[in-house]
Amino acid sequence: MNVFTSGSRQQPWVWQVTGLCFILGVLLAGSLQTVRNINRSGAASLGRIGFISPRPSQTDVQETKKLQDEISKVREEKTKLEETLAKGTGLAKTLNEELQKTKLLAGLTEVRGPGVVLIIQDSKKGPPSNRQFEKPNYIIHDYTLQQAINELNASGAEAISINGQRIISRTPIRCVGPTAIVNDVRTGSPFEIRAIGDADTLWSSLNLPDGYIDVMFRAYDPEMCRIEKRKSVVVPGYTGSTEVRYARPIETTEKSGKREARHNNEAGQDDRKETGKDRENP
Amino acid sequence: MTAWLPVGGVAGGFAVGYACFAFMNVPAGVASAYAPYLSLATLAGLDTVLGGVRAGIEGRFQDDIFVSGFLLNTLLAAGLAYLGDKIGVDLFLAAVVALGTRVFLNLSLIRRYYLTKAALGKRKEQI
Repeated sequence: MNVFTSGSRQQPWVWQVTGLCFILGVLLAGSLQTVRNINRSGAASLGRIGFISPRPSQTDVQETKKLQDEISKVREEKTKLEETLAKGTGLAKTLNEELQKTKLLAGLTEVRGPGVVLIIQDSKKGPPSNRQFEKPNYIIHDYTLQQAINELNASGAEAISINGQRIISRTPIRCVGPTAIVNDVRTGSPFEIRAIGDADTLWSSLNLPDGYIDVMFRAYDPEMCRIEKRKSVVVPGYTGSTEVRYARPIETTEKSGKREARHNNEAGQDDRKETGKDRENP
Repeated sequence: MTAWLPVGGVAGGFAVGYACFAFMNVPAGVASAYAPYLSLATLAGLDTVLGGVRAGIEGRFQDDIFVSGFLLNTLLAAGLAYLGDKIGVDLFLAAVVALGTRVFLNLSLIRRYYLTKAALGKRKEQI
C-alpha cells in the first residue's frame, strides 16, 4: 500500500522532496564534519570561546598583531633617529647612551642573549580517575605564570616574555576563563616563557628539588612542562602603552626632609618638564 | 516503497557530503566562522522537507512554492545571522526559533495524519 496516494497530484512531489532531502543530507554531513573539525584541531580552548561569543574574532586578533608590529617598528625607528641625532657632540652622545640603557632596562627594545625557554601547557591526560578533585592542579593558572616570572627574576633573568609579550615592571598577569591576559593581550596554553640570563642559573633555579617545576608540574603530570637551555634567546620589546599619568619624579634638591610638605603642594607644575620623555603617548 | 525515497535521499546526501567535507579538510578558523550558517541552512532544509511532506499529504503540494521556500528561507536565515553578527545581537536565534517551531508543527501534523489513517484502517477491518 502506498501511503502517499492521498494527494490530488500523486507522485511528483515525493521525488522533489527526495531531491531536497539529498541536499539536506549534504548539509547535515557538512555541519557534522565542520563541528568535528573545529573540535579536533588545536583551537579547542580558544575556539570554544569564539563559538560562544564571536566578538574577539580572528580578524581582531590579526589586527592587534599588526598594530603591535607597527608599534615595535616605530619604536625601532625612534631609536635610530635618536642615534643619528646624537652623532654630533659628546654631550648628546652621552645622553643618548644613557637613554638607550634606560630603554633596555625598561624593556622597550628587542633583546637577544643566552637563557632558557620554558614551555608549559595544560595537562593532556588530566588527573587519574579517582582524583578528579585535583583537576585544577592539571591546568595552567595565572599564578603558575606569575610564580615562573618571580622565580626567573629571583635568579637574575634580565628579560622575560610570555608568548611574545614582554614582561615589564607594570605587566599584569591575570586569569580570564581558560586563558590568561598578559599586558592586556589574551593568550592561552601552551605558554612559551623566554628568559635571558645565565642559562645554567635559570635552569637550575627552576629545577631545584621541591622547587617551581617539582611543585607545579612533576607532582602531577611532568609532560605539562618542558625547559630548554639556549645559547641565544630573542625576547621582543614591550609594545603596550608607556603613558605615565600620575607618578612624577621628585626633584633632587627637595629630596632631603621636605617630602611631607611637598605632598600638600598640589601645583606640581614645575615637575612636568622632567617627565617629558615618559609622555610619548598622550 | 516511494514513502522511503526521502529517507534514502537523506542517507545518500549524507554519504556524499561526508566524503566531500572529509576530503576538503577546511582549516578550523574558517570552519568556526561559517559553522553557524551551515547549521542554519540545515535547519531550513529540514523545515522545508517536512513542510513539503505535509503539503503533499494534504494534497496542496506545489513545486514552485516548495523550491522557492527553501531558497528564500535559507537566504533569510543566513542574512539574519550575518546581520546579527555585524550589529552584535544574536539575530540568528530568531531564525532558529521560527524554523524550529515550524519543524515541530509540521511533524505533529504528519504524525496526526498517519495516526488517523491507522485508526480508520483498523475500524474498516472491524466493519
